[in-house]
Amino acid sequence: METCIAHVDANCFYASVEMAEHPELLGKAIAVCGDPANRHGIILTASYPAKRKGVKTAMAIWEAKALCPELILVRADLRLYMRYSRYTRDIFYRYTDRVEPFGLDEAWLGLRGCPACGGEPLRIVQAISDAFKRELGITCSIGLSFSKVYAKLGSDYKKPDAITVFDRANYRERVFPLPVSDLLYVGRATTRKLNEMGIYTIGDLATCDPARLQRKLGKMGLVVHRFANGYDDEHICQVGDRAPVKSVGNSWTTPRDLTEDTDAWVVFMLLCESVGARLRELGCKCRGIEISVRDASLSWFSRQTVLPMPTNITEELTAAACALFRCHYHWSKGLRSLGVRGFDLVWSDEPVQLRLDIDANRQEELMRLDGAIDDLRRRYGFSIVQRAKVWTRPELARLDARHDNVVHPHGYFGQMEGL
Amino acid sequence: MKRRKLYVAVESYTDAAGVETPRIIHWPNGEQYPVTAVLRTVNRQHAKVGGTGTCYTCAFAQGGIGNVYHEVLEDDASSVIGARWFVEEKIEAEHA
Ligand SMILES: [Mg+2]
Repeated sequence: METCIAHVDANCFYASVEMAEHPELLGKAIAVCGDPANRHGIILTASYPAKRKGVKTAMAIWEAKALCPELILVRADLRLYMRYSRYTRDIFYRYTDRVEPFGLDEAWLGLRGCPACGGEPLRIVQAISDAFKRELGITCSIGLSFSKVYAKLGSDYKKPDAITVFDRANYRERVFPLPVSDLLYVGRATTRKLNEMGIYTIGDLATCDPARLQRKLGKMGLVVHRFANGYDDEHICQVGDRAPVKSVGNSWTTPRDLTEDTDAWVVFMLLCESVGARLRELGCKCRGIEISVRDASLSWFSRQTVLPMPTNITEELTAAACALFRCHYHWSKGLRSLGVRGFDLVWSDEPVQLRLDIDANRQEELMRLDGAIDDLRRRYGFSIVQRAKVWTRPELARLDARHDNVVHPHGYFGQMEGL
Repeated sequence: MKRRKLYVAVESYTDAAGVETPRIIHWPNGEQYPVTAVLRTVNRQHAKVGGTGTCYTCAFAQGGIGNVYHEVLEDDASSVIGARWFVEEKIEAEHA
């Protein structure tokens, strides 16, 4: 099999973009954070000089300052990072239409049969790496291999500004010694279980009896065994390729017409509770959210947006749905029905770039809250616990969004049509 | 000599195919630089003053050649709402 799948990962993306915009920061210890004035805020991305002093992603600002007193803090500018992210995609599309973005700063590229650069994937990725430097002023690490999982391992293997090839001839020697936790989808819990089985490296996992893995880890055991061996579905999901939609959605026709923002908030909260619960059940987060709105005359529209960071937290989903709603509906008529759909699903334990404007503690709290609510409802039924603000509209609050209405997963997780 | 990024007003012409060409560059001090020819356009980062976009290398009526960068502009929701132009401004050292 050819080595024609690339994974491109921009190095220290946020920090690099800041340096590309402000060359006076080049070569300095800088860190991007949500609010430089908040000592307890966290570092989102640090430049290499800062990393060498021990500054890490998710570290508190005060802690980072203690390790690196000369650290320059820069307020995150998501708009700018999204612009550069778009530019990186423009570069990819010159070479292939098979581009699967993974967060703002990573993407898989399908290069099989691409005519550029004499059809040689290695020369294509070299051209991409050059274009990053020349056009954007940032560097990237690229992995080139015969599977998506190995390509991603390759982009992690050597940083910054490097190209790593794992092909049929060298993968046993180069991939197999890597720790099993480097593998995509092998989070902390899975690593622990694998270690208990005496599996420490990707090679250990690849050569383990799959039946033994299945007994210990269930279906996931087979998945990670395949990944360790460099087999995956190889399918690069194209942007705008709507066919294999992976989404979870729910909609509700309300018992009375909705007439103002609090009504809509209550319904969105109930719907997002159900979508969130379903996502959490699946072990997923969504990267995008869509709302659908039907008014009393039954005319209908839907709008979607990409979330700054994948989530399955009810409160974040609700906030995103309401923000989208406020942008696009101004109460010219009463409403009869609302819907919410989370799309572009990723596994919950997938690594993500940290979000700018939410502190990790708060997010942790919200996750625990959702977990506790899920647990209570599983045991005692939906109505055992309810958000107080929902009860400002008791006639709406009676929806058991999770059970009275069908929740529609599809794509990866089932074949049902959404909304 | 120091350099910095300077956003400038530009009169431009957009043809029916959507290709935009700068015609006159207006500096903040009132000076005008009519563009006689666009010699090349290329996507490029400005390594000295920072920023990225499409770099137009222009010949000017006064003589001389210079670069004008076309930079995308977004609203708060990151939707592209337009673009603006910037040039590199050279600043003489203020003190010896
Ligand atoms: Mg990265």
